[in-house]
Amino acid sequence: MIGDDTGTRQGTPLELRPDHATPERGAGADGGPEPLRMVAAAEAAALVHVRRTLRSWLSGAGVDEDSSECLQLAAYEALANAASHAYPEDDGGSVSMRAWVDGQVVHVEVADHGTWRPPPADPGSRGRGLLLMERCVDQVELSRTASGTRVGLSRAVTLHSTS
Amino acid sequence: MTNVSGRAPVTNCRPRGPGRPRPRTPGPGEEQLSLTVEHDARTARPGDGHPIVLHFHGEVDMVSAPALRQGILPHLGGGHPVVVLDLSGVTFFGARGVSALMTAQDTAEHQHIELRVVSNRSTVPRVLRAADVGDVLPVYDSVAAAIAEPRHPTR
Repeated sequence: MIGDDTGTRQGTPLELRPDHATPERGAGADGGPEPLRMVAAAEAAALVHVRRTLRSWLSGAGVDEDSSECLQLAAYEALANAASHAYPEDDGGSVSMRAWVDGQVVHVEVADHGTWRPPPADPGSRGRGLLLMERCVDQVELSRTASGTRVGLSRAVTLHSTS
Repeated sequence: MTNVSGRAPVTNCRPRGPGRPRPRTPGPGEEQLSLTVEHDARTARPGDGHPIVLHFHGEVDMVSAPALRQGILPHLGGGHPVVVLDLSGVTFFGARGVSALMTAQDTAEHQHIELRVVSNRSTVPRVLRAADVGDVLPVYDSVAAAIAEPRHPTR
């Protein structure tokens, strides 16, 4: 049954920390929002908090509601894929997310450090996740290296003043 | 559409897996998926059992998608020819939610039950369209519209 690989890793310590130690270029320099940088356990319960933190960050950045929902969706599907497929069943790896604004474009990058596995014959939710990413943002870049998978998402947005 | 007073049981539809306590501890502002079931006899039509309306509120992600599926399936055997899923209160809807609805749709179709999705906000329709299942799961903009639609001939 698809979708049943969730919530089974009991007791995985929830690691979640906003990381402001590595500011992106231009952070706050032009009055724009601080970039967001997070590392979390690659498991379902932790990803809920990552998504909600992204939602708050997008809201704080003044991103329009439609774009915000689409970016949250695409980012969450990237995170969900990392949690479901990047790591062996019992190995709690981590997933990192960065988000920043460049002009009128929001970029979100999701990276895991697991091994890419070829898509199963019946892609199920995972295939849908990739499809949703492609349809909800302007650009999806997928890069796989020996050290992990990185998904880059970007979407042109309308920014409202938040001051 | 209003609830019939005293006849709308409120059910928390968190998954009841065998011996699996849920590890989540809701924090401030969290939006757990919840389900309200509405049996409204006023919508009954002669010779056609009355529809049932399932109102879902909260977020449908990889944690809660099983709860969506498990919230629907028990109502597909209750003699209701039309089961309305009101997802107007759903604030996030991901790929796992689509899969949960498709599972429910498969089950409903086998039992000649029509599953009708309602949402008055863009969240759910956008995802269903993007996932290419908009034709299989058309979305109505109100519960009243979903109930008013004549039942399709048995395929």
